Amino acid sequence: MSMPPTFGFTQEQVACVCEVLQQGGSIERLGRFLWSLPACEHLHKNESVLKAKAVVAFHRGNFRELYKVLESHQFSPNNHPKLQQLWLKAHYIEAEKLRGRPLGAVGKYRVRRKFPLPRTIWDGEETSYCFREKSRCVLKEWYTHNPYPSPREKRELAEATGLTTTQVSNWFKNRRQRDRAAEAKERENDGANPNGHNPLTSHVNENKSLCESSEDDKSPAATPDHSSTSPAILMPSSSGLPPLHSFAPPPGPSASIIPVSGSDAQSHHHFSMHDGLLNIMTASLVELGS
Amino acid sequence: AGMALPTGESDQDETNRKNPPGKAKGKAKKSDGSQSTDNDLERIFLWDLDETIIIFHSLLTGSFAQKFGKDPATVLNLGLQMEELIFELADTHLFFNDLEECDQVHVDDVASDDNGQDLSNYSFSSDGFSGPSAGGGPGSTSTVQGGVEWMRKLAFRYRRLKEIYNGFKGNVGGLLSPMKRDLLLRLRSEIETITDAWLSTALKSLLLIQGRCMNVLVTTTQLVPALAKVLLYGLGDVFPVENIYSATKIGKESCFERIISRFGNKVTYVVIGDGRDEEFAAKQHNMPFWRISSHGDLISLHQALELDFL
Repeated sequence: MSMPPTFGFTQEQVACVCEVLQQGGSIERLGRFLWSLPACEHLHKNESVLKAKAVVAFHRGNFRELYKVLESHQFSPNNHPKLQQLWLKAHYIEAEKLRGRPLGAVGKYRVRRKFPLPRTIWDGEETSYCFREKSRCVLKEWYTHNPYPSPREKRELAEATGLTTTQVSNWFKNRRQRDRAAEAKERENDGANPNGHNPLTSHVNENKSLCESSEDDKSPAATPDHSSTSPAILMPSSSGLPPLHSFAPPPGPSASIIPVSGSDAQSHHHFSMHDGLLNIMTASLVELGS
Repeated sequence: AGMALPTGESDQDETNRKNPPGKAKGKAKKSDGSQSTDNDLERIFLWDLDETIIIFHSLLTGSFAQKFGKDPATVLNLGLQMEELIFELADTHLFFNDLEECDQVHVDDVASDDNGQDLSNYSFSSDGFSGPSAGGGPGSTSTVQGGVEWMRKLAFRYRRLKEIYNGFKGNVGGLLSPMKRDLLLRLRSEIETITDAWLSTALKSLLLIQGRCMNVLVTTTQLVPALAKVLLYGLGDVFPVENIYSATKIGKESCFERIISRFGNKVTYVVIGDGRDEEFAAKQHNMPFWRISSHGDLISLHQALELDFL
């Protein structure tokens, strides 16, 4: 590490100054300090120095420079949170400028999707959850026993997790949808269909968007439509699947979808899932899938 | 080139004045409208004592002589003489005999057991604080260790310690006999020479810091001997007695934690030491660390302070 003799600080000392000024919020001073550093390559690759550069660039609104710095060097995990914040905030600000007004939660989500965190400041773990770990555990546990809690059970779950019943309902609905999507994708990858394209799943996905937005209080009027159209899509004669109608009581006010592996039932059925009925259902579903 | 900000102007003021475009959410602290006063603490420097500010321990172990190519015998002799002075002061005036077994982390730690009574005529030597512990013979007047009365006497001692420290921090010679006074002056001068003015270099930084923020001492020496060292090395004016912590019992990491609780986390803490414990403790608390392993590091520290980098 060759440093011009006129510059009296070691790399470690430079890093210390960078940290001190950053922590103290003296970003102007930090900028001037960085400017005064000798053009030593080794020094400018120091992580604390790079972090400082990123902070200064952000502070000055120089976002091109910020992104360049963040993507230029593999930062150590303990610096990831702060640098991720810089990346995201900068992108939000830029999006807001384009939009002309502040970003809401959805807008920010879209920004995050459009500009995913670079792996230099992110370990790839999707670990930022909205609900507490404890709550999620309770919900997960319940889901493994019964993915279709009744309204009363949902209320109980809400109380146990500190969430609202709507949040609980949405959690279950999303969970079912994602499980089904994951399973469908697995089937696709398994090469069950030589084309690699399962017509059932693609149709399922289309119709899903119609059904999945349902809440418990979905109007009965909407449901019969689905019931009438879906069997046509899902009952290819070759598949040998028994008509699903036989499993279903008439559509009720609550709408939820039975997860059927490979092919999805588009009928809306409300079941109060007594264990006995559930076991029968499961057994039959297993048969369907094989 | 011209790094120092004009007096009285803080970074926040400058930012607000310039109001750079495109800075919707700057990283700089938003000023709440109030001008930063002298009372606003920005930085607190946490110093290690031995081998950072003073050279003492390494005089005795021979490591200093070895590292800097000095005559081992001379160096050792200086160390031993200094050590004798330190413990003599500690025993004679700072109750070290009484307190060695129950020394505290901080001089105020037992203050809650104090009853505030007047100590001007109090006799520490015969108040029965220390004597034969369990199994004192018939007629023994020693107080039960750990009891309420004993704790109160303990608190008296630390109160008196504070008084002595504050009274003599600018002039420790007043606590010594004329002979010892001369010895101290001679020793300090010789140590300064043989360490290439280590202490006075460190002192430059300490004074600069004292002018604008705060110095805190965190040492692995026990509290009472640490106070003796600070007094004897002439550091009493840069370290208020309440800013001295002994990490012997609880470790540096815990000391740092106590300090953070005391001063809050809006302050920026900077740890200065020769490595080992303090470096690790600093890392645990995400505090920037300035290593002192040579004379040059002390000079660089002073430079950085002068240039307003720290």
